[in-house]
Amino acid sequence: MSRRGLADWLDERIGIREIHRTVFARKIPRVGWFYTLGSVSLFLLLIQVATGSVLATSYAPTPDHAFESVRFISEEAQFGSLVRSLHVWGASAIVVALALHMLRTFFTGAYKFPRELTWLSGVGLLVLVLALSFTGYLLPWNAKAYWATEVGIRIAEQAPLLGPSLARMLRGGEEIGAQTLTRFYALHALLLPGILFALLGAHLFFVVRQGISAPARRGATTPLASDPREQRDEGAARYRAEKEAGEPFYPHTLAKDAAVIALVAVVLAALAWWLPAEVGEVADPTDATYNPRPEWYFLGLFQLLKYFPGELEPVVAIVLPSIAIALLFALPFLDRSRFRHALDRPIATALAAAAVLAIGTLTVAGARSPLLSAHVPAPPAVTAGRQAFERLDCGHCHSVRGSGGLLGPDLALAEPTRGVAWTRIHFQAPSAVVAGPRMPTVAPLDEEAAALFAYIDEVRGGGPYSEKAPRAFRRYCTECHRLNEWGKSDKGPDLTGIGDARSRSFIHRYLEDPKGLLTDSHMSSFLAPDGPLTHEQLEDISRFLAAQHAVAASAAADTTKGDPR
Amino acid sequence: MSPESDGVASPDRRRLLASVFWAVSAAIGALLSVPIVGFLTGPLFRRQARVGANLGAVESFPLNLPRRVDFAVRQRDGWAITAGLKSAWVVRSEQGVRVFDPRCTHLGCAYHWHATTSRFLCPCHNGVYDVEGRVVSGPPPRPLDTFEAWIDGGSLYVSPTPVRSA
Repeated sequence: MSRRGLADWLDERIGIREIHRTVFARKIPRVGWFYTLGSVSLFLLLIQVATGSVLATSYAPTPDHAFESVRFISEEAQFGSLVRSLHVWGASAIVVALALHMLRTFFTGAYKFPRELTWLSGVGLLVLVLALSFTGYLLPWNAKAYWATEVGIRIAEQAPLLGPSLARMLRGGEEIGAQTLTRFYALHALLLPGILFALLGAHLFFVVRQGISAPARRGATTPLASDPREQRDEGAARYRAEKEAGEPFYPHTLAKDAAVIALVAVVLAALAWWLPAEVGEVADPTDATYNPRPEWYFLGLFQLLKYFPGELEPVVAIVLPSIAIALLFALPFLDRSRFRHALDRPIATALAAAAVLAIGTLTVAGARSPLLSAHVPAPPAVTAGRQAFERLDCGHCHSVRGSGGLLGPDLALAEPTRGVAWTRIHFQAPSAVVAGPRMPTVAPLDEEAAALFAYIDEVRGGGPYSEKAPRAFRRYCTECHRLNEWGKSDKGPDLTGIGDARSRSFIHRYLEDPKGLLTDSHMSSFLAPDGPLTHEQLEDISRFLAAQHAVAASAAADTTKGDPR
Repeated sequence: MSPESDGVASPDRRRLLASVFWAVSAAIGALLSVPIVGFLTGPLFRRQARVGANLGAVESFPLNLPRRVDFAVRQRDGWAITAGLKSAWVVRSEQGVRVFDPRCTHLGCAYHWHATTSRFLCPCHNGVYDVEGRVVSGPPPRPLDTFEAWIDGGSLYVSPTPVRSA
């Protein structure tokens, strides 16, 4: 069938020529480059749909597997990191594009009669996109996700009347867990996109039906909905004239849109390529050292909460944002001005500029706010080992720093000379390396054995230390600290059993830069040139200190005195 | 009227803009389909690491008499580490040990050993195989699939991924 034949065939059935005339051949007024932002937002939404669908093929929405599956996507799946990074950066890009699109609409007064419905559906789309962001960032089940969701749901909980019920519904129960994750996943991947696309269809229909607004000109007026018929008709006639003088949607407008979209696509791809989305640390409700921070577009609200005392918090967290959104919805009906150009309506323009400035300032302040918790993330292998420890139920028999089963030895006291090879044989055939076949054979995968070793190594102290380490400790540290029988000063805290509380990586970082980690520290750096020690010596002392366990101290007190090793 | 408005009507400008639109759209589409197609085709290029499940001492399997064994496999399956139960038919003969995938090659039903006729019988569409796994009658298109098997220290190990028979 020829091209013409195909067009005829379709025309007889669905009236394709009329669709072409009203959608593609329609003329639109000559407008500037800022009018491409709507198409940019639409393009970014489509990117989210495409990348999101692909991610869904390898994502498991359960607390047991969510983090691992995201790690799998980012680290193992072919192009996985790129796809996920496009999705993560795309989410931010949409918020930016929508905000700019909305500001353009506001400053050109394009929401006025007869385009109120376009504006209303647009505000609805903005709310949906923010809801999609919020539900999306729990899904990786990392520390950032977990805490941001915890805080977000608690904010919802403060809403008057319905708050507690709403929070419970979002969580699917009392605590964030398996049911929260499946709920958020269903909302993020099915329900919200469904509503979004229905609303988007309406938005686009309004845009095509009503036509894009003509450029706002200085001093020009536009009729109000309440004006008499003739006046409104006159406005419509003026618009038709602008339209006739304009350019056809295809190819003129679309070529312009495509050029801007190409730029956005290149920037997005570059960000995703060079600044890939992080996997982060697995969500751990027991970790008190993490510094929860929301995504940047919620940082303003985050910062605002700091300025208000507890009893006013619901006002700030719920009422203020609700009023802001209600105002946005009501805008076309509240605004009675006939002018469209930003400079002709100074009050509206000033208010909007003030709002943008306030949100911007709060966001910057939120981003700059100091991290109050001293957080040194554990190396990934250690975290993986801790998970394997739980998965293989090692805790039934082994304790870690005194808590856990009593049948096997405490892992913090394991011999530091035992290496990966020993550990592996130990798992495969325990009786081959330790007398007495009490330990059951667990058959971890090689990667699990390596991770378990890393974890045991970490709880033990992070590797062997030299005999110089205790000497260095007595020389540099006992002036202020005690450790078992050593030292007499109480200037600094007693370090007996410090290995139960702090990891090697933490101690090392702390010795390098005490005040950077704990703002109220009195200690100064021990790292050369500010302090007397090199990196190697600090590492040696850190391992020595991380190996100081209270269980060991009490065991040692029973038998020998002296070297706490 | 500004001078450009004449250009709107010009067919040259229209053709140019149309080709700009299509070229740019095609470029963006190509750029973005690389990671998406790449991600979806990933499994075609990934190889699974060899893991073996221990089925016990080779000597414990009777000669020329198929025995069904269940075995646990602990393996990495994408992001999950699964400990699943699988089963297989083990046939030990003078030539060595063969371990068959317990699914009929016709449509995947679980077949069983019929001792009186010394045949494997599939209950779905009456596929019949001999003790070597060769098709005797019925619809199966090829002999039984096997698991890769090896002997290490007197124990029989199998890889849990079946190998398609020729």
